[in-house]
Amino acid sequence: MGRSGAPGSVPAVETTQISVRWWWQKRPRGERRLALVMVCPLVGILLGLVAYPLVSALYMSLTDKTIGSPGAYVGLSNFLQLAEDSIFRQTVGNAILYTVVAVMIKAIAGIGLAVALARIGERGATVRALILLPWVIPISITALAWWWMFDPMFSVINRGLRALGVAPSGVPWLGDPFWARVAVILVNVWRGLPFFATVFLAGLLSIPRELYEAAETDGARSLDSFVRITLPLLRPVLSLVLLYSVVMTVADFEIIYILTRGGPLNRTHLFATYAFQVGLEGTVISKGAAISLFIFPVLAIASYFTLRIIRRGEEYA
Amino acid sequence: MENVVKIDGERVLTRREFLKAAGRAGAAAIVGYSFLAKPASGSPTRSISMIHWSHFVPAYNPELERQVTEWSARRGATARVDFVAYRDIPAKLAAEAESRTGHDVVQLRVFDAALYRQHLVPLDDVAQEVERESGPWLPLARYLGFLDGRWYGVPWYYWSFPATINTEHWGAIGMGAANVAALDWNAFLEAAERLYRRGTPVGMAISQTFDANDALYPLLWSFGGRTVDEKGNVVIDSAETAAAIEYAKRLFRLMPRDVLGWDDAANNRFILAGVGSWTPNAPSIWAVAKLQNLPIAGKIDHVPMPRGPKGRFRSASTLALGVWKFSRNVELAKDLIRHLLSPANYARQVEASMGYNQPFLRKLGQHAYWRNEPVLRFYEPVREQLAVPGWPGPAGEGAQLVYTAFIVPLMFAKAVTGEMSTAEAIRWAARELQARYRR
Repeated sequence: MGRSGAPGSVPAVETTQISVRWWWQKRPRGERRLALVMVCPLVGILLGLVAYPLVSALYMSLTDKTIGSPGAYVGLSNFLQLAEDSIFRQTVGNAILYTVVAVMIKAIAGIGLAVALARIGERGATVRALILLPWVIPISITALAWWWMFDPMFSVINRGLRALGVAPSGVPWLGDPFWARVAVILVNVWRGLPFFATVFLAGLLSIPRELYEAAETDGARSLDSFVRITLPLLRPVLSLVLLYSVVMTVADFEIIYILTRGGPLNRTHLFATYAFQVGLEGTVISKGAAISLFIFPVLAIASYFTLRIIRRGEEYA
Repeated sequence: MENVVKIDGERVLTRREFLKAAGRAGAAAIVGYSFLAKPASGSPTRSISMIHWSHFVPAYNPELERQVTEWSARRGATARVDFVAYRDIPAKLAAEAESRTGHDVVQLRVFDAALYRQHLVPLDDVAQEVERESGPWLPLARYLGFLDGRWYGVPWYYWSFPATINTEHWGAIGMGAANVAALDWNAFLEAAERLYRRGTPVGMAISQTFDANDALYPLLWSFGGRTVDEKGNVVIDSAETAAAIEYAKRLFRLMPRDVLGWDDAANNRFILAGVGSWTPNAPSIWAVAKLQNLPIAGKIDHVPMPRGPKGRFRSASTLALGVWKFSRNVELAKDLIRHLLSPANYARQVEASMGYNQPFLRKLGQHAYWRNEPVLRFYEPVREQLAVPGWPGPAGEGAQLVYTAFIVPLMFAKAVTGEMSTAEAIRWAARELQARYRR
């Protein structure tokens, strides 16, 4: 031997030199380089604030780490323990119920509200601005106002109901498992409805008027127009908003934390509030991470479909 | 067309050249500033920061701030107290322990010293010194702060949960505070029924809130029930626990159903609104009423919780002071703790908290405030058996997890609402306790 490489092949050192030279020659320049440089901060932020916490949570969920101790690798032990945890199983049921009911109500009421706003037209500018208020004001402030309205002794809602003779003894809003669920879903709907209505309204206004006029000429009733024109053309927007809302609703924290803290009887716990209770208040951060990771599959599926819809929208454009 | 920056009509830079130059200048400025702004190495600053909850008796916060400022002036150091809502403290401590940055002196709630001991500086010298001056320590102090032969937290103060009563309502059924103080749970039930019929019910939280732990553990203990034994073995499945639950079922019928959803402030409002006649709570309801000159202040009194077949108990929430290992000024932090636990300062803290803060050191309990304020005659000194939820088990993670997951209140709630039978609720609690203590 003694000679590096067989005849016809390129020696290793030379290959390295070639690849470095190739990279140097192909390095991005001009606008392309500027674009890469300008994208860097965003990539940095995404890596730091999204990828790192996610990987860190994944790692933690596979350890027995508590706050204040390094923890050791325990495989899927935390997930297996959660499967046996009755409060966690209750939380899964709560999350499904909370998300499905709240998103459904927001979607149906949102379309209704959007149609009503579209009918009002330009005259409804003030109404449109007012409707956005629940969505614009920080939820921590409005949830506190709701909490006070649900207070067992000072509830203004109960006073109203009593005055109307509907519920003479008042409704135990936050003290009864059923009513507590009603209360948290109500606040979530109140909070999210403006967003649904506004996006649907934008979708409605983008539908060409000619289609309705043609339908009217053909003798279609309002309901027919709504079912045959409005809903099909609104479908991309509807799907996008529904998926976005599922993500936001299943990961909800503030409303539950302020109104019920997961009670009564754990009937309003969601993943985030239970993860907070176990991970931070209970200090078993590994188990808290495992609980919060259960949101991840939901988010991943929703994100996948959201991206597909966005891409399809781009194809149409 | 290329945009060109011109001065006096002469071409100076293209737009792109200008942006590049500006970007470089900005980056240079940031890098330069970061070097200039860095404190000089080798001369650690004499500064101390401390975290403390925003006290339920508002007059306490300025007094604590004053004492810390006074200390800082005397030591030639800077000092700061950050007041944080009680519920936010766990997340704060967790973040500080994990990131190894934050306050130097931290308040440690019930089992925090045990949970964070790996991150805390042992404070044996301070604990022994203050004990020599004002001791001895109460047994509860050793239980929570003295772990594996070292003091990881210097017990500072606790607040306990007797019952707050509205004397007017009790007077209406012919009972004075002394009569109420002597009641056992059976006699209490009869009185509760009369109060309920008058529209002035008794109430205790049976919900996912810390007050529920402090109300229901003493009930359980007084019937002889325990969650775990001294070694952490789960012993909740007992006839004594069943008796406590059966009693709670009878009492629940005489309370507002809202107790299932009460938060820590709900029973305060229950009394302050003039509706409730009895609720387990520290004297903050009375203190707030007095500070705000509410007419109800004169009707409020405190009495021990009723006696059960196995004794009379009182639950406590506790605070100790700890110093993180990452603190750059450990000795200064220790000095601040000594300052806060000096007899003169402690006396002022008791006054500012209107007797709410109770001492772990026997001599500090001799303050005249509790004797001069008739409303607090049953509050301090404590005559009942004093314990924290989790007692008599080992201080640590299991107790903390059971406490924060509200397992005992949930057990009671499941039984009193009929969601489970008494036996099922106990079995459920036993499983949940085992899952949390076996870790």
